[in-house]
Amino acid sequence: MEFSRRIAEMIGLAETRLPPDITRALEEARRKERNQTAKIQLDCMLKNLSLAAEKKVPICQDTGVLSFFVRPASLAEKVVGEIEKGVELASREIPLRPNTLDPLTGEEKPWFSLHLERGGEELEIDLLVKGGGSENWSRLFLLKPGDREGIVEAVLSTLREAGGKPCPPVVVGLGIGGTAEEACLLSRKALLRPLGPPDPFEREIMEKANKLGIGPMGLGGRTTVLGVRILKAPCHRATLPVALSLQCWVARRASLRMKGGKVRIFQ
Amino acid sequence: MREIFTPVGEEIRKLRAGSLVSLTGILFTARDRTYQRILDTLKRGEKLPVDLRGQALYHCGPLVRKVGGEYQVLSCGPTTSSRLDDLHAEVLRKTGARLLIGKGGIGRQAAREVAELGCVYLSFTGGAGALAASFVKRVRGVYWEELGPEAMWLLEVEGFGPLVVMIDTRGETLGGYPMKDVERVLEDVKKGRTHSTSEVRKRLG
Repeated sequence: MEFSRRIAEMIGLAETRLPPDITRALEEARRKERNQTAKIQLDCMLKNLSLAAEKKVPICQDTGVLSFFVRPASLAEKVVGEIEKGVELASREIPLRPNTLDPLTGEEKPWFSLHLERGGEELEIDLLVKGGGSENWSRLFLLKPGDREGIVEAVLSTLREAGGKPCPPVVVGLGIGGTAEEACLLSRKALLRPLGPPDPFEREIMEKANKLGIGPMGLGGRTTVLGVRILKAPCHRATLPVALSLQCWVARRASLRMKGGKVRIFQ
Repeated sequence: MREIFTPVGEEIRKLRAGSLVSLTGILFTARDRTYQRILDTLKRGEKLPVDLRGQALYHCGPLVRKVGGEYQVLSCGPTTSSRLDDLHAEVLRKTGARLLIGKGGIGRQAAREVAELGCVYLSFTGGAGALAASFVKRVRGVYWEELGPEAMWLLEVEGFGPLVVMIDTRGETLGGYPMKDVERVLEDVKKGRTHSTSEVRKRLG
């Protein structure tokens, strides 16, 4: 099979099914919920997931903007053309909604985001799919050095301001440290990490965020945040870059790994 | 769950914020560029291609596929309504539409204006595009097709819901989350922050 086909397959998987950790977190949120309106929202979300999987259609009509993270860079260079072809195939066949425009003229222009990374020996591709509603709440903060509580405040104020608009319950991706641009990238890569046992700082932020009571779709309820994922890098002693990426409950991602000439696609 | 049929009339004044409804009739999709097109058309003194009086404007850019000359809606959940807050009242006033359907709610000022016009704002679960599409019986038509997902799609739906009434004609809004709880949590964090920032400072000398 042509490699571009496998890319299209990976995009299809990301668009029509959620990773098991996200589905589990939504089910858990439903079990814990007491608020009647919130229960109804979560029921709609879970029902929507079964329907999308069964009919093999995109979970959300906003099929988002695709971000590919590819490594090692030496191999990545060779598959860029295949990724382009794969995106074209997926756009036609799944299909994907034409979402990208020239930022000034508004003319439709197909586009995806591509990052070539260091590390690894065999080809690895991670795909993050993000819709416009949650993207409007991406934030970059330049805090004072060591201002740990400032990070918590940055997350909570953003969630407060965002209310129901980023389609909560959201996954919070935090990039802490590095340079301004590195922090932004880290916050995206954090969203590629499956939800698992949180570290103490992730847990602290999550518990506080869920006390806000914003709830599913901002209609009130116990779960505002499904999980918090943090990636760190050292930073200049005079600053503390903190980037925040909120991912809607349709937290779409998929991965591809090449091993001994065999391709594995999973979530 | 109360069922409403479009076009609607004064019966929508009975709807109360917080209650659930389902809708049978036609959804007229309208988002950023559709709103603009409606207003531009009317500004030029031209007529709209369709009579919107009593109808439901749905903030949505559907994912549509053409199969054998017919349109098929694959996924059609709502988009963020508040992006259009500056225009809701003008669009409703000039078209006579009575229902807005979207997600995430709308701002306080826009909500007041919508209520004053005797209109109701309903929300459907964001992201639930496949579920929304399951209520679509067929595409009844499309205007301004060149706008793609932002064209005005006429989606015939049956029992579309559950929709939550977020703003009723009395201007009552669904409380959603208690703002005072949000402020309290943030206050606690801010208090902690002053303390720990000074701690950090001490350590840094």
